[in-house]
Amino acid sequence: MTTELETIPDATIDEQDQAPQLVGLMAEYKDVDSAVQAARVVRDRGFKVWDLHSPFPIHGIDKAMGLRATYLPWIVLIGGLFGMASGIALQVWTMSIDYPFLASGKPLNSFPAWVPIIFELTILCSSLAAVAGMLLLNRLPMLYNPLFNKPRFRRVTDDRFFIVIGADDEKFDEIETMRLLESTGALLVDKVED
Amino acid sequence: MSHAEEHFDYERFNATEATQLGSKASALFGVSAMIGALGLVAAIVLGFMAGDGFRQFYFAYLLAYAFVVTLALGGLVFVLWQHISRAGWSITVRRIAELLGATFPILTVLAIPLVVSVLTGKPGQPSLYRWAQPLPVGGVVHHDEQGEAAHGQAVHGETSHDEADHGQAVDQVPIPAAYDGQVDDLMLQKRSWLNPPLFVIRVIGCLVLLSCVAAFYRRNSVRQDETGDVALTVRMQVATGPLILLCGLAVTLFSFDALMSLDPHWYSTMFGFYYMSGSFVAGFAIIIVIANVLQMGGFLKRSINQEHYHDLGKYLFGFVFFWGYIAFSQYMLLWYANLPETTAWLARRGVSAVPGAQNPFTWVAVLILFGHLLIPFGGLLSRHVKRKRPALLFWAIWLLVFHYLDMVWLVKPELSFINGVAAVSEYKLNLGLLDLFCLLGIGGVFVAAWVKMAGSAALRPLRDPRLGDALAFENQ
Repeated sequence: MTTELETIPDATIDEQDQAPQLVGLMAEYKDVDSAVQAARVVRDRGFKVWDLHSPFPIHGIDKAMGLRATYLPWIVLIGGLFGMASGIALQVWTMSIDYPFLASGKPLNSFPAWVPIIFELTILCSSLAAVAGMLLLNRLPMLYNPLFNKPRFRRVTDDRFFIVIGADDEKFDEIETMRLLESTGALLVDKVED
Repeated sequence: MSHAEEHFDYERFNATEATQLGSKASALFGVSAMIGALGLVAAIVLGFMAGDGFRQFYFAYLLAYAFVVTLALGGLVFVLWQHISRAGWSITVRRIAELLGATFPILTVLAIPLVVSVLTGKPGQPSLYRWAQPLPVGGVVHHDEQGEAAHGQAVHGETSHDEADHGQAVDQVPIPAAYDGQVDDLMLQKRSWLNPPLFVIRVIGCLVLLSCVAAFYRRNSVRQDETGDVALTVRMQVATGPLILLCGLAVTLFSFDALMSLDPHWYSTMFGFYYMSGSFVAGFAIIIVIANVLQMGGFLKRSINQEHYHDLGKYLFGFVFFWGYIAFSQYMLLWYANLPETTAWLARRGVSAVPGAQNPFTWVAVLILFGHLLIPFGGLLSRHVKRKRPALLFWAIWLLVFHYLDMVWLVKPELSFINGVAAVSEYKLNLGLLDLFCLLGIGGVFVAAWVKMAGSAALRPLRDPRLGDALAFENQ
């Protein structure tokens, strides 16, 4: 393993003066089963700052990685409630306070006529909140990631699976973690530097 | 498709759980058929004792019938949707829905009282549909300008349209006294569509069509249990496109005839879809209930899992709101246009802001608004509710109850009208033992038919090519 590790050329080492800093360890897997199995091991060791990269969604990966439920639904709910409130406020203000206008003999505050607007604003705001919340929670857009410097990592969009453990994890120890990843049947364990 | 399909061992998996109702089928059939028969007999006896020409009986019967038809329809629609979307996840619950649809032949037979009520109409004595009385001699009259003007006088909330309809026109053949207040020129104009023979042809035709479609899916699905032939799946998928259109038209016509024509003046092009959207909710709810009952009885313990309930719950949640969307759209258009002949329908159902124009149906309408839309919407919103079987079962039963109330709201106000109650505020709910017996009667026969057919084949597809996919399915 180690010899193979040394022979992989790091293609894009930058030519800056400061020495590259270790940001994490990257383990490469050949198939889904070994990657999921490895994810369980990493989860059970209590790592927090780590991720599994795969070319496609894997059933049951949430459980295997021990991911907690996402906050996204709450963000969407708040967005929806905000849209509803603004739909009501908009129409109360424009139709009956700022410029009272009697339309077809209906009361000034005609709720049935407002429902479509309230509905549309609710949908609009909750879907915008869903998109914005998704970007926020995923910390996107992320224009640079040290993983992109690894030529082998490109196969993550094709047929390889990667587990990356961040160096800022409390449990991270360069030697220990590398041994751990090697013990999970990785094809290769490599340092990710930046 | 996944490799599960190629390597899935049908024999081995099918042996791991009970898929045949077996001896329980005959016992259940006996009990439910007994309840059904007793319920129907009791309803007919009570209806006869009421001494009103079976009028109360017919209304109670139509109410129960309209409700049970939505259950069968919901099942059929579920099957159609699964085939048109080539869904794999639903294989394990599809047979339950196929069986619901397959009860349509029995429901066609159960339409006989509606046919009888239409064919035995006597002048001036409407029993269920007040247009279904023999024509007054003199035929159709012109609906002229003055007639229109008389229409325009009715105001939202005051149901004066029936008085306003006749008597004003100049060259109008007078309507005989026997029909006073029951038949007017607007009704006579619709006579070319709303007449007893055409009604019978349409209603029975629609039910027979739905029966044939349901039988087609059940036959091919059961045949696949033995052969495992993929061509059967393809055949069902290909047929679904045209059939879904035909079924949509059939249900629209059926609901126009059976429910909307209770008020022959009123029309809403959305009404068919209103009825259908209710049937979607009822269908998903009853599928969830049946799946729970079967699993409690020890059947399909392994194949129907949390993921399938989650998806059924998503459907239920989605179509609770869909029903609300359709119901509100229909209401808002009537409210906004405020035309006398269409708002009268709502006024009779207690939906009016006019002081003193409220009646028991006002409260039914409020109950439906909260119980059929707002409360279950909030209740089913969370993923955790959909994934917890008892919680989902609770909401399914809840929605079936409120769906029944929705049918009450559609059917029952016309009974007070036809009884000659003049003021909307004096309308009665008219719910009683008769309705209970009709529900038990039709419901009992419905359950008996379901159980009988369920006993003759497996409770889920045994060799569907995507059974493996359905079992491996997980919600993200």
